[in-house]
Amino acid sequence: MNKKAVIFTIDAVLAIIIAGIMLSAAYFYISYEYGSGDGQQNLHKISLDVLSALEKDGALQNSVNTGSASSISTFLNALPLQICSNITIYDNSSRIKLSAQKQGCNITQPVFSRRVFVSGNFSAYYAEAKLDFS
Amino acid sequence: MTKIIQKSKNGKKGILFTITTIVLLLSLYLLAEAFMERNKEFGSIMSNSVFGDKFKYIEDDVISGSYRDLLDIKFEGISRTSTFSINFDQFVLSPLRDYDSYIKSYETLVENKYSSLNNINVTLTGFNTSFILMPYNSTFEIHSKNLTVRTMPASTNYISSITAYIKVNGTFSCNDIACADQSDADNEACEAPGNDPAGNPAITITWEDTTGFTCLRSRNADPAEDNDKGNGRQFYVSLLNAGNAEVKYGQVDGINGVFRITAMDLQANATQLDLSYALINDRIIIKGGDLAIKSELGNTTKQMEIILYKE
Repeated sequence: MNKKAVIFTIDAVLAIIIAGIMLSAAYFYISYEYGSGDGQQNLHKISLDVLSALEKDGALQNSVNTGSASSISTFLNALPLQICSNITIYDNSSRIKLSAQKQGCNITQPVFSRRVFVSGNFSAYYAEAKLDFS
Repeated sequence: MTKIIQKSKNGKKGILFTITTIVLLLSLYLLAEAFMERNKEFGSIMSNSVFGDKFKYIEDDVISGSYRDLLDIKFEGISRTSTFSINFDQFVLSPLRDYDSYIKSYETLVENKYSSLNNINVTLTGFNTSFILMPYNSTFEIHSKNLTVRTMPASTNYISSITAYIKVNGTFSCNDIACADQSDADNEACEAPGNDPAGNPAITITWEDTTGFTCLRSRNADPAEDNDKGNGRQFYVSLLNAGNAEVKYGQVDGINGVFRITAMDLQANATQLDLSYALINDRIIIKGGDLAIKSELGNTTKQMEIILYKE
């Protein structure tokens, strides 16, 4: 009787272990590829959109022409609450010309994107966007 | 005997349950693995799509508005009636501007800093101060002192007329003094070459000075006739102050069918430049240089023409 109990117990434990391994493997496979990558990729697309909108709207050029980043700041502050953002404009020697950041948030793990544009004095600049989830 | 039969039945049930459980677990495992494989394929498609998106973005970024902003050109549009017309609203010639250097500076920024920051390799070929109008193959080229339109790369002349309105930052001279009125300005302030026979392209030039006086001349000009400076066949404006401006059409620098606006030591703004061509049914394309984008990671290259306008 004792022997039977031991065999049953070992059998049950083995069954539980095998089932556990199978289920763990299945869980691993199913959860594979679902990481933070999608979120970062979407954030990158948003950053491209932000720069395109700012250039086509003339805000980047106007900021360089006037020396004020207020129009960029207004745009960044109007972005959704979940998105923290910073735009920095560099001249063709990579010197910082202007910078604007959304109020009340910190950027810790940003995605980067850039856009070139020409100002009113025919000089070439590029804007760098840093976006992060707040 | 009954007990033995019962035990045998239980044993068979146990084996059946075990096999069923293993089959179910295996199914789950295989399903999960298949799901992962599909996800990987999807990820690969997404990755390629991201490259496509990135290339599209870079293309738009580098090309869109670059010629317009760097050369300060305003393109109004095209129209088709009995002829084809292309209309511009601005070409600025000024000694204070160096379009070649603006273009070079932009090209350097894009090919170096911008490329390395984006982990790609962008190459601009034939990116300069000129662009071409297809299918007529007319080349427009602007520099600080002149705008040249070469309309006859082939022997056929398609040009039927050219109309320009040019504002100069100077004061008209009427017999070496300021013009008394508009009539005086129109009579005295500008000159034109002699008229060639009808059927030759009609060239109409209107000059405007800083006081608002205008002077208009219109002539038929032979595209093969030598119309270079010095032979008195060019359109020009008389100014009181330093600097001069003139327009040539014909054989210039040994090439037929060249239209050239030249401004020396003054600013001239062609606020209207309309070129009319004999109709060709092909689609109109205005083309600049070429752009190549190579991804450093995926070893993918995309090459394209810089199309500034497509009908």
